[in-house]
Amino acid sequence: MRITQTTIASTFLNNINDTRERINDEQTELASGKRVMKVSDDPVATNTILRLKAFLGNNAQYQKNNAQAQTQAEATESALSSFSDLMVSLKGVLSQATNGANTADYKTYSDQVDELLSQAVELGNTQSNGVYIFGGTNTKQQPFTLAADHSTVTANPNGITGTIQYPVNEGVTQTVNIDGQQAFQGTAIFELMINVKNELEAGQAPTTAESQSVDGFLSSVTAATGKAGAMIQDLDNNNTQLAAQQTQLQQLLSVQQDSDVAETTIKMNQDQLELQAALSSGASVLPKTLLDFLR
Amino acid sequence: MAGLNDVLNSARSALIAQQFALATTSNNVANASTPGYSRQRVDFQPAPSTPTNAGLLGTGVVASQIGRVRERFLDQQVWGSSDTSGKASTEQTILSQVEAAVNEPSDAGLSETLNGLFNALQGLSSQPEEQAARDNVVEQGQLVAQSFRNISANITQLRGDLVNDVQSKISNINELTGEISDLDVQIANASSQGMDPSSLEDRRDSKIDSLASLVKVNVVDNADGSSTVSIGGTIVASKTGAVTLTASATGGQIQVFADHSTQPTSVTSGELGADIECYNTTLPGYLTKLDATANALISRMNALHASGFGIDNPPTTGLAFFTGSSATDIAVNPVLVADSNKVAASADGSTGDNAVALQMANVQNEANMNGGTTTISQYYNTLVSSIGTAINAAQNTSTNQQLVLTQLQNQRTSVSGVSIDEEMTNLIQFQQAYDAASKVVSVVDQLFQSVIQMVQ
Repeated sequence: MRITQTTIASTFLNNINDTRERINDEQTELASGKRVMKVSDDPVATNTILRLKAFLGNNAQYQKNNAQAQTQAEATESALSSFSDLMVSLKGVLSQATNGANTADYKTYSDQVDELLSQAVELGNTQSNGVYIFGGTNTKQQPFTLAADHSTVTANPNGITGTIQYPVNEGVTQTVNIDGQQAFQGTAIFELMINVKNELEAGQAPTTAESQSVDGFLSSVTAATGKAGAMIQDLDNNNTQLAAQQTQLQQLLSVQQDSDVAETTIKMNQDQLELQAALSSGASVLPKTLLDFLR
Repeated sequence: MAGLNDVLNSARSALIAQQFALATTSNNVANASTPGYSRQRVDFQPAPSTPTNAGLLGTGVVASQIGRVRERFLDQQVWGSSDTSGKASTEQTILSQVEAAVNEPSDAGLSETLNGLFNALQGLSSQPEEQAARDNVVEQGQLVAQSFRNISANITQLRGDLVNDVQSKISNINELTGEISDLDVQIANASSQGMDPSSLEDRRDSKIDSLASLVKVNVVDNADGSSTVSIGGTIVASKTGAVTLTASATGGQIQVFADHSTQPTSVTSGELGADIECYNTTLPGYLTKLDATANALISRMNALHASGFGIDNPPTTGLAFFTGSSATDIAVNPVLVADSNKVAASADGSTGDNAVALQMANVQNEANMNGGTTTISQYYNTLVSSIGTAINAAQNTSTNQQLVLTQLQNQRTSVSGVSIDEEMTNLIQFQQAYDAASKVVSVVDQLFQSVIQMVQ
């Protein structure tokens, strides 16, 4: 093939351009630390990256939901365990009153029961993060209202039932509340306390049936407390799982998206070497013609 | 019988012929780096011999013609590859702009804002009473709507710009065909008068070079050196004149018409072909898919949202979450923007219920596109990677065609290019031949002197 100066010059320029383009790509990759900056860098990996990023975003949201759920469940558990303490105290008052106490002391017992009633209603109206935790899904309305003369307790007419579930993991929802109906069997506990209080006030000893129902309520509240405890346990486990998933997803994303610094650096060194060789050989070949030797 | 005058004459013819050769060499050196220049060569022929007693006697040399060294076959090959290369590189440029409009993978792309919306809905499901959670849903919804509108507007804008680009390329083509036709007329004239049309042919061929990367051309050579250039079966330049092309963009399609013709000329390749294909097919295809994505999101979200209740008093129901029906006009319902308490999270109107928020968050995992096989995000992600794949394909074609073209161009310069080394070698040859002929003249001069002295 007949080689002219133009051929040498254009081949030289094409090669230098190619090498510089590669060096530029490698330099961008090193500077950004990312292998995929635009879709065309790797369309298939981009699809995976977008999917992994969605999973990571969900994971972050699940962790927030989980923390929120934990707060609610802990508030529920603590309110319920205070409530069972309260039931134990009520039981104590009742047994003192039944076991041959002075009828003169009935007034005192009645006052104690009344005090316990106020505390019980207060616990039933416990709020966490601004919502009533025993109100079912009617979270903004007070579930239990104690009449001013402490003669009745009414439940929210719009209802105190309803299950609240948070999404806490892919396809997993966790119930985070125990509604008023489940926890206190509606207003039954409060009504029992009002009855006992009224009887004591009237100088009557509490009946055995009443003592038995207090026992029944105590065990049902304890059971509900256990349920809240199990909820907290579930949420703790889920939290650990979410954190592990996050780490795993981040690793997968890194494999797809991040640059292999060592490999890229070595490639870039090779290309730089190539560029230097091309430049120095070009510099010595390009200016040579027969003219240099004709005198 | 050969006289001294015959010797002198043949020496004179040699001097003249070598001068031609030297002048051509000098011209070659001068044009060594002129683009499109083909090296020229002087053809020497022995002058007609005269009969003598001893036989035919040569009478010197004539420079019969100056011609360019050119391989027509290589020209045709270069023109045949230029359009594919031009198409691929233009396509790559246009698609890269689409890629920039889509802006994935990034923290600000549509994909990420969609995640943001679904996460905000999950956040709402854990705090349906919270104003902040509701505001966040509305805000993320607006970001999604804005991302859709931005991508759609950018691609539409790009498509509008392509019309201008096509028009300027068409006028460039018309200019080139006009010049080619003018040069063909001059070439035909020069040939008919027996003159050398080399430099005219070089100029014409380099115009055809430019034309060939804009659009696929077919070049037929005529006996008189002129050529007939056609595009898509329509003759656009010949020695009888040029035909102007016009482009019209009606009904969302760009069509190219030759002068006085109502039938569109088919342009499928070259830079112009890439513009037209992107305008007519590729970009509308992307926009349709983007609209389908937006539409699926709007209709699903609206159906769910309308079934739920807000937490205002009395709880509002039956509201749409988005207004609009495509990527161009999607927006969050202004009623929700004005009062985020109307965002429906509850299925029964109670404040703590989050059933509808959960259902809306779950739209992320619902396969409600492609006949119930693909989620909205998957559909969009596939669109994004299809853009990337198209760019890669154009990039590969462009690189490969560029290699082929470079190879062909190298072959062409190998034939037609000026080599300084070769010209210098020729220069020495011609110089020595010239020197020798001068020597003959001086010898003949001495002979004349001798003859004259003989007479004195």
